[in-house]
Amino acid sequence: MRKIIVLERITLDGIFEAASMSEWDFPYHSEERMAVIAEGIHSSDAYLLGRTTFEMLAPGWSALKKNEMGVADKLNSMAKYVVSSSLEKAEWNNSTLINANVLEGVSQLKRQPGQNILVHGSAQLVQTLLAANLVDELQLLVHPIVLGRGSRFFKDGAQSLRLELVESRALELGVMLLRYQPSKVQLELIRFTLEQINDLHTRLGRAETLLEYARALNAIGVEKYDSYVTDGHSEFFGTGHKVSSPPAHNPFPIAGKSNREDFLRYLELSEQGKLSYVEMSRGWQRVASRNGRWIRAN
Amino acid sequence: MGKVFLDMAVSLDGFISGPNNSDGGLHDWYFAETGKSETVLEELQSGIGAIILGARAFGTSPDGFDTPYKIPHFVLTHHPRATIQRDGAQFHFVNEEIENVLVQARAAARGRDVCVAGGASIAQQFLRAGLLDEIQLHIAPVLLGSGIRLLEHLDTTIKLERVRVLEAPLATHLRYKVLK
Repeated sequence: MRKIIVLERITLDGIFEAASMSEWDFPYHSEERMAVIAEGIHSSDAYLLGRTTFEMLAPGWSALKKNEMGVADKLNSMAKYVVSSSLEKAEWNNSTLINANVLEGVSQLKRQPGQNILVHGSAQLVQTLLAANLVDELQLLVHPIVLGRGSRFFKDGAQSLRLELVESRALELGVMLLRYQPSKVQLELIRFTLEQINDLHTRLGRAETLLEYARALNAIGVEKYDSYVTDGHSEFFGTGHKVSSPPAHNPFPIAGKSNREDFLRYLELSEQGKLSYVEMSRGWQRVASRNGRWIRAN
Repeated sequence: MGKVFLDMAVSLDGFISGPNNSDGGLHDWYFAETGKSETVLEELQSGIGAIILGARAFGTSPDGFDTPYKIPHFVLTHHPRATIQRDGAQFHFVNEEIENVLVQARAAARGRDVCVAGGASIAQQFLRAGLLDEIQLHIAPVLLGSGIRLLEHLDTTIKLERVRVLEAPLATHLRYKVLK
């Protein structure tokens, strides 16, 4: 399984803003720091980025043709993946757009043979990957400066996550390299995956095995789940952990008022094989509640 | 003369307490009995002559709290009250500008270090006023996601010089000198 390595350059107060890098990053350039960055690039054969970071890096690097800093050629030639639902075309050599089913897409990337998958910047994407337990190592290059302004890498509202320090390395000019991986304890206890859920659903996701399905979900740490009639996606919640399944279909508009009998009638028709899931959901869209959510009857 | 330094436990994402005011394991290192964290603790206990803290950090107990630091504590508060003596430690309640409080704390420390021990608001005031010689952070290996951020509301850039790093299982202890 390939590893996702996230390397971030930040100030002591957690700022990672590109616009002010001349103040908090460039002055701390050193051979040692460059070596850390270059090593990350050369030990990877995939570069995974969010839209903002991608659009910031692409034009500059694309223009470099002389293997500047010993990494330009590699960055320009390696396979790049940009996660964005709004970008129409990824304008950088050898780039692929991931615009739907992000977690599935990234998981698939990890399952393919290859070297590490490297992430730089991409704060929003990294938050998503951390919450989905897809990050294998988080490396922070902490610069000896409190900037006092600008956007932070770690934003409010993210999920809590226990880590383990892999290494701390004091670099020149006061820069610290801190390498972390997600704590194993957490992984074993509660980090159920979409794969596990899909597997259970395949085996037990029918009306007559509903109770077993619920018990099996519970056994892997799912405490509750919500399924959305709007587009057929579900969200599974554990302690400090959440996994979303991708949408099953395009969004349906939802009725203003719910009608339990009709709801159950559509469910029955689906169970009898008379309606596909999509047809059943279409039926539900006429009877489901305003926010598009339904909760299984106990 | 002793140094004035900020000393706080913080998560990797910069919080001094987590969701619902939880500790999130930030102070686990405090109970280490061997290793680098223990070295840090011994240093703190032998080197500090006075502590400054905010009212919220002090808490609501009418009798103060138990502490291994048997030294004067200066609690910044808008509601001053009589000094509390508790088992060798003293808690003085002061409603004054931080510069004045620092003068008092230095005098009480008698040549040893003055430690600004929290909370975030007090730390920020000292940082903005340029009153700190050093910053020591105990970085716990945890992302809390939300809570009280230590380094915000600063509106000023502070350059630092790394003085020491000690790696321990429950925290990475980082010490910086504030460049003036």
